[in-house]
Amino acid sequence: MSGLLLDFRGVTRWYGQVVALRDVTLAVNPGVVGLLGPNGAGKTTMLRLVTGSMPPSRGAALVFGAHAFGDPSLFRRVGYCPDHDNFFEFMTGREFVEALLGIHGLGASERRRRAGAALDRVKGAEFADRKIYGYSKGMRQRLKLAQALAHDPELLVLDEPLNGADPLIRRDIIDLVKEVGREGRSVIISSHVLHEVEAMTPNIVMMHKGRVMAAGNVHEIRGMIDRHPHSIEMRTPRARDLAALLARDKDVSEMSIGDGAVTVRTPKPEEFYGRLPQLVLESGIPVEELRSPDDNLDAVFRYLTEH
Amino acid sequence: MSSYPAPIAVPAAPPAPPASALNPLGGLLWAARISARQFLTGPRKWVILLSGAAFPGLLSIFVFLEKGAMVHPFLQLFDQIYLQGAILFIALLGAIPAFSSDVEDGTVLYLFARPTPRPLIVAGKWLGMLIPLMILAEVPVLVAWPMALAQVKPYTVTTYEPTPPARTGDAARKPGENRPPGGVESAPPGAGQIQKFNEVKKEMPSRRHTALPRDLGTALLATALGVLQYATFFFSIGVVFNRPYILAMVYGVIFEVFVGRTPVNLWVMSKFVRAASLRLMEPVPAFFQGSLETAPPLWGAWIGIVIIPVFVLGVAALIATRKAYIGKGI
Repeated sequence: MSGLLLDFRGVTRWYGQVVALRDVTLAVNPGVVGLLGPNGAGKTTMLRLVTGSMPPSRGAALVFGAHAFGDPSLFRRVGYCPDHDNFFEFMTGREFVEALLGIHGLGASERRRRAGAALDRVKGAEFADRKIYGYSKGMRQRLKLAQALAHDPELLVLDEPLNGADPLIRRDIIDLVKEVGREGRSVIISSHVLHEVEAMTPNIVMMHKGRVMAAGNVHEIRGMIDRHPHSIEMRTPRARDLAALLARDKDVSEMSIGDGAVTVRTPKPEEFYGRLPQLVLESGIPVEELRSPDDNLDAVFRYLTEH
Repeated sequence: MSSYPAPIAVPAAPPAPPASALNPLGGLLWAARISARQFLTGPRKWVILLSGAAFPGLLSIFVFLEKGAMVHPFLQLFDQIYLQGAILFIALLGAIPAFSSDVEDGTVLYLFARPTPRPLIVAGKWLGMLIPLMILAEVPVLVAWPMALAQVKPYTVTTYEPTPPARTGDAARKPGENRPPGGVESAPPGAGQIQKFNEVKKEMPSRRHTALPRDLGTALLATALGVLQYATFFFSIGVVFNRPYILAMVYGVIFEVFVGRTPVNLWVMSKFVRAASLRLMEPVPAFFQGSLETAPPLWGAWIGIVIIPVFVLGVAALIATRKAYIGKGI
């Protein structure tokens, strides 16, 4: 056993002429991981490979060290929340969760107990006994989460759970994911809304056009993007003096002077950050604030996907 | 970038769910239960009952047109109209969407992400579709039966009986015998005599006794077996060609047009349905008379009724284990 949560080895998946995943090799350790990418990046395909909904066209997709496709026993450990909002509409929410627990082979009392607990956890108890066809979007989101959580999985796979959710549900889902992560379970959550994923986890896998473009902590990813200069903004009352000083630095590729601020762009931010305190001290130019305006997921994502 | 380099420090994982969480048979039965509820709560059952209504509908036309039938109309219509016609559509409408609609709307993903092997989920869906479909297909038969019985009434049979040869001087003529004008005494014996017939009307009792419970039993059995056979084929088509519902219907119609009207269908399907029903229910009911001579033996019939469809279902279930079910909009 490798101890890895996901182990993708040269995975390619195509639908007819369309290639959804291209030669993806990826190892993911247990924990909460965000899967990020625009529409069509291959996120859903990747999650469906993780949940064994389909086999890879080429390569191997392993979850907990076992092939996800063709190993139904794996689903004792995996809970899947798909991206669509279709259910067996004639059932109540509670019946739906209990029926799926029935396919797990659980007895009646255990089904009732687990379904009740899962519905409570997603704040769905109040509508659980109503027919699903009358559910709002938010209720459906909660029900999807409940059915994925009900059998107490070690890995929760959430495909765009925040898509179309109102702010209250977003907050609840984000809190739930964090809580599940704190319990020691793993969560893979896909989204194209970057700041929401950032609120849940710093660990991300970024995808674009069927490829994994980067994986790791958002800051580590940022450091890997050598060919894209990193922006650093420094607020100072002596902007021109500071600009003149920094213009001589070998790692500064671009610079702009704004209202009381100098913004530099550097391809080697770590080295620049290392030298900056010494430069400031020696020159005596006061720097009141230092920040990196693009050190967030949106900027990283933009960098990674613009080519 | 090809790896995820930084291990994520997390607390120890919770224990796996209890061992009771792997029960494939339970998974099959729950899939069947979901499938049956889908069937019975959706619009399909009304479509199917409407399709089946063709049979009692035709019988009701008999009621109005004939005002009472000498021969049991059920016996005239069941084989040709219901068993070989309506059941095909009932099976088509009931069986194809049982799986393909779940694929279309993506709900199959909830079922497959469970610790039950896919073939058992497919088998459960099939079972859950088949049983209510069989029950619904029996409804038109049960409705038609008393309708047909109501049409069978007492009737009058008119016969013409020859008169006995005339004899001269026969004083003991019986009432109703023709007597030539002027008396037969004047006619020469044996010459120019014409054979006469008398019209005799007889009141006959109702022939309802020909509609034995055994006949109804045979019809119900034939219906169930016909549904088993056709629905299994069409369900398997839905599993293999699982895209949209309408497309699956088209596949079904193509199947019926190109296969259903060939000797393959006549022998593999209808004949086997009849054969199994008849061999089990001998003596042969009147409405199947003539069929048994060309029907296969019982063992052959069971191959056609059970073994071939189950084999087809098995192949479909195996295909389902390797197939990508990706739902709508992908």
